[in-house]
Amino acid sequence: MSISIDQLLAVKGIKLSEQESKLLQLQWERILALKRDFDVVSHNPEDIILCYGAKGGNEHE
Amino acid sequence: MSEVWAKKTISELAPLLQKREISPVEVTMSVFDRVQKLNDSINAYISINNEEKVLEKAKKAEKEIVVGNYRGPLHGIPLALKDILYFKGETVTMGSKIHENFTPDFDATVVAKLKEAGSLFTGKLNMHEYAYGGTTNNPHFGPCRNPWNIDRIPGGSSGGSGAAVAADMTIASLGTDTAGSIRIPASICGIVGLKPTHGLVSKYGCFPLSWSLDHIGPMTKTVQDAAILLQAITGYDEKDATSVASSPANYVMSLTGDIKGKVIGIEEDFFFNMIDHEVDSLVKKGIRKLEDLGARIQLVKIPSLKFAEFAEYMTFMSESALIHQNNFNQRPEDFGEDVRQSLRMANNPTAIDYLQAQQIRRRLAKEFTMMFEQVDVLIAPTLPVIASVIGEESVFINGQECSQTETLIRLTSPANLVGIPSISIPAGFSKGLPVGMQIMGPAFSEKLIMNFAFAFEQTNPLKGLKPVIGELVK
Repeated sequence: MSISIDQLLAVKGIKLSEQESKLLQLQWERILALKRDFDVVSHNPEDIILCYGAKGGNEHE
Repeated sequence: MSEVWAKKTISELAPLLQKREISPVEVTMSVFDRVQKLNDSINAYISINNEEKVLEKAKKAEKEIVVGNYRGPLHGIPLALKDILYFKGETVTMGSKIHENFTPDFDATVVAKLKEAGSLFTGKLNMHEYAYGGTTNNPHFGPCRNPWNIDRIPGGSSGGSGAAVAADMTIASLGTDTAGSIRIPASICGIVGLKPTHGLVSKYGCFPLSWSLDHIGPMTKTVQDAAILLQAITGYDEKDATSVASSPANYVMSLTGDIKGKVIGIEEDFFFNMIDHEVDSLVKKGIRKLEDLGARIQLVKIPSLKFAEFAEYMTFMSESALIHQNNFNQRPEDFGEDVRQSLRMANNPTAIDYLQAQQIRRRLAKEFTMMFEQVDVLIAPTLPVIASVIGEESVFINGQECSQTETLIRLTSPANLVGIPSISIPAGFSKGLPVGMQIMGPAFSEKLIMNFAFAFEQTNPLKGLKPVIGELVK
């Protein structure tokens, strides 16, 4: 499920004009395009681990 | 009062102060004169401290020096810092309306260290609101202007620091850097700006923009002054969770200018892609000068740089959204239009976006580490372009229209993502405006990159030119 920027902001009581909404959508799409093909890049375990070792630190347990 | 002292560097003034050939009072008055003359035109200061009170402190510093209690090269030196660093009992605005009456009850660690070193403070410097942008076109305190051309931006977010140092309205300054905010104004204003290794300088008492990317560092007239300031502000601080215990280093003594046999890495796919032709040419000319001094060039690859912009945006948007969420939800109208728009956008990244950004950072860190096993430093332009006209939202690179924000941070933000040190040093002029060259090195290699910058500085890339004072006064 995905919701629009307008909907996200509306939940917080922030309303956008049509022009502001269009501009935000354009900027957001441009930023998402910077991700390029990262979704299909293969990851090794270290790329996924973000400090979750049971004893603290980075070890993969 | 002569303005001659305001135009000096820390390393020129310090021995004169130590030998009592000049007084901190004379230097401070000289800086105040310069500020009073130029601030209406440049708008580098958000607030100017009470001159009488600062001069009292200058007299006290003078007495300490006279009786032999000289504290070191910053004793009696007047500085002005970016208005995002806390001073106990003084108003600190972050360039915002929301914090216009904020008075912290403690000093930032860097401020405490500078006070301990004997520095004096003439005021607080203009900045992009909450450091959230690269132009210092501040809607609450007015735009800061570039001393080389007052119709142009000084860069940002530490634009007041860049402009004040360039226009001799302070002897030196500190800025903060989350995606380039020290190096961008340094490049655009023709001064030296150093973003140190993440954790080397405590950020306690600095209002955050994005805690995993934020840094504090020197903005100065010379590399030697950057070394002096860095020396004064480094050190482990238990009050900053990201502070790193590092061995004490003498940064000034390491400035020999000897770079013979060192290897310069050049990465072309990212750092020399979409660069204004004149900027490209000036930086490559600078690299050739370093080759003449005995360094060697090696081409390198850093494949994950193609994802760096995405990682920078997702990280600082997510972290800044958290920092500003209460004020953004409760009083969005009190943010300037551009920051309000950025914060709207900052509400959009998902947890997946943020975590992918951190994956990219880990990949980049690994690739940078491997690259620095082959080369000593990496050199690139600081910015792809020169300073744009105040108010413009787009820039043109070789005829192609680009987003100003994305262009300003494109080449500087990778060093924030991986936390490595990077220094911007003037490399020359394009169309009468300064161009900066960026020297990056492995974590905690500040001595090495400053020595490279020092070696290059000796080739006199700005040919001794300064902004023309007559053109600065309205």
